[in-house]
Amino acid sequence: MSITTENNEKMITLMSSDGEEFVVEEAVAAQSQTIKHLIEDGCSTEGSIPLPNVTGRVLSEVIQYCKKHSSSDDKEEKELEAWDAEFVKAADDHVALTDLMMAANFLDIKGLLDLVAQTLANMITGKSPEEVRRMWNIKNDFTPEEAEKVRKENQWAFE
Amino acid sequence: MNPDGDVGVDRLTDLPDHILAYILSFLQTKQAARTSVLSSKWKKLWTVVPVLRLHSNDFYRLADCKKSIRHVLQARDTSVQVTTFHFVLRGCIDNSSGDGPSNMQRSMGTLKTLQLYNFELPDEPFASTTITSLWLESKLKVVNISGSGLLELHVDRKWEVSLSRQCKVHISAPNVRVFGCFWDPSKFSMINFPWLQHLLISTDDSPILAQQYKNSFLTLLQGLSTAQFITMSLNMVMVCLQALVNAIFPSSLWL
Repeated sequence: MSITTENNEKMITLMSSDGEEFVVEEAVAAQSQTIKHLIEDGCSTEGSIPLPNVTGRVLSEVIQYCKKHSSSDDKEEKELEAWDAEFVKAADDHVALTDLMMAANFLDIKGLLDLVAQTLANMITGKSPEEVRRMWNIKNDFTPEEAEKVRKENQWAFE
Repeated sequence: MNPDGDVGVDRLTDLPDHILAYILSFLQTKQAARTSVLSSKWKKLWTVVPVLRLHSNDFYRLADCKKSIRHVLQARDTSVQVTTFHFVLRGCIDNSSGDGPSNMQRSMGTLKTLQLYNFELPDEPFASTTITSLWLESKLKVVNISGSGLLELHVDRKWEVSLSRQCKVHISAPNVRVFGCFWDPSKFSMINFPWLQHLLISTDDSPILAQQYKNSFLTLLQGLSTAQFITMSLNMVMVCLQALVNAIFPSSLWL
């Protein structure tokens, strides 16, 4: 479904996995390489673009990011950085970040992918394996012997 | 408690391997290797990360840092090639022990980006056909740099310390598009970049060095006339303006 606004901006409709519809400017949606290619292939003419891997909650966050980044070409880089920092802070919940990571990967939005990956990497930095496990509920499935062996193989990283 | 209420579920490990490897690519390699002990799924993940980041500050002794390079190269999954190697090191790399640049390149055939900082390399030509982006901020004794695939080259003046006065650096990289020169340009025997688009010159905002390198920078500018963009530090702009004024009004004084 293509709608045109007063400003002559072409609008498209994105549909999340749980059926929520989002009407956004094409330029905003095209920040996603995946959506861009779908538009180019003419997949948007038959109505809305379905995004079966992204829930409405995550999609609204992604659109928020794309809007900011498509409208701020000539804005200060520092301001955008500060905005990004606030954006990931708002999604500071671990689950929200991993969902965002999956969506950025599926939608192929490099800037968002890097931003979230860096945030997750920062959360691991400086933590002991035990702390990382506790933080993410990672189950240690090694036997004591295996654990000892892996630790020995990578001893250099713990020195 | 999160909105989905799935407390106790390990959402991080549930991510596909390639995404986890992508996250690990933002970590220092030493930190990434520590994730090997988390669980069986994590055991080998760090070995497929295509970006290596090693910093000597992460090691108590320099010898440990050198040793770790060998550990990393041995443990890496060779089916996944390294694309970026970011290496910060204080001290000297001894090539006889097998961790010199040629050996690194052999170990990483498709290396695209190589960034070497505070790094002393042995006296051997630096040649690569695969590297497209090379950053040298190192005390190199290398006097020959060649790379037909090089698109981006940055050299920093920290280099000069170990080069003798007469020593000239030969660069054979005809396809360079971006050239960052933060060093005395007279040290290069000849620079010929017919496809150059962007030239960056700076002297760490040192007016004294800008004066000292003035003539060679001006020669460099004349030789690289194809550049579409030039980025220079303020003191370089001042030096160029001064040269311009002197050329127009030979007898005037620059204030």
